[in-house]
Amino acid sequence: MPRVSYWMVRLALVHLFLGFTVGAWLLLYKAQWLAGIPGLRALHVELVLLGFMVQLAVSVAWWILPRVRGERPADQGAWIAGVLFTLGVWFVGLGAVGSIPKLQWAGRILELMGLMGWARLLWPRILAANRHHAAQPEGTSSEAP
Amino acid sequence: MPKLSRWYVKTALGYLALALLLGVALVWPTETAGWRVWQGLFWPVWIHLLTVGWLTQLIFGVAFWLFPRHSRMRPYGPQQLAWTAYPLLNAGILLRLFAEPAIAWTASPLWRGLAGLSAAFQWVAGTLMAVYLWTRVKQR
Repeated sequence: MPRVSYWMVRLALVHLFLGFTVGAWLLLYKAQWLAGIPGLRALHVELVLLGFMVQLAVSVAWWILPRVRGERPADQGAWIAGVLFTLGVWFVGLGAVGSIPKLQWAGRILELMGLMGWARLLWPRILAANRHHAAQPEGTSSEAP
Repeated sequence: MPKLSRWYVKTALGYLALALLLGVALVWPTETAGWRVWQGLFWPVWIHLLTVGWLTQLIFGVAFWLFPRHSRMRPYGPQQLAWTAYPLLNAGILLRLFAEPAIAWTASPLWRGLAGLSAAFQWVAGTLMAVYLWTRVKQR
């Protein structure tokens, strides 16, 4: 696993833990066991859907997608995209809890920038997979399991 | 595909089917006020059947299968964490299926307790899987 995937997957797992923790709080609040905190639902959604699921998906994609001409692009772009995206998740979440709409807005912009960066880096590797498949004669397997 | 992964993925598919069925009921056009109330009560359940029951459980199953080996001696690492998480996660989701709409309807201590149990089960399961998958993230 490349270094950037290693750290981004671990970060996604931290988001999983935090997202589930906030989610449990929300259900306990609904069951009248705990006090409510404004903005917690938005934080929960951000952590679980974006901080965990999307971050895990792109981190694993960075690791697993075919390399173009046998080489994975340098990690630098992936680091920048990953940092932007993660900051965005936190800005949106903290902006929701702190009722700071401008922070949420900034967070969404950062998330969008991060994801555009990921998309730009990953797109050629998806095409590489298609080209590799198209070159294989029918009935042959191109990849080891 | 290891047995636990097959359990996670097949269960996830079951939740997807259940969520889609519930989804039909939730958008069923109705003029009956009572039916619309129930549609609203089951809305969060539907979301969690999809996100936790289907998506998260699918991720857990595939990650258990495909993440780097923990070690040569123990390729799947401390898999008892993942095995323990499976029944807890599903018990939590199934409790939620009934308890979450119920607590919006009644302040009964029984339903509040079951909803609390659902929250605890899901939290423990999520934590166990986060810890387990952490051990499978390897840099090479």
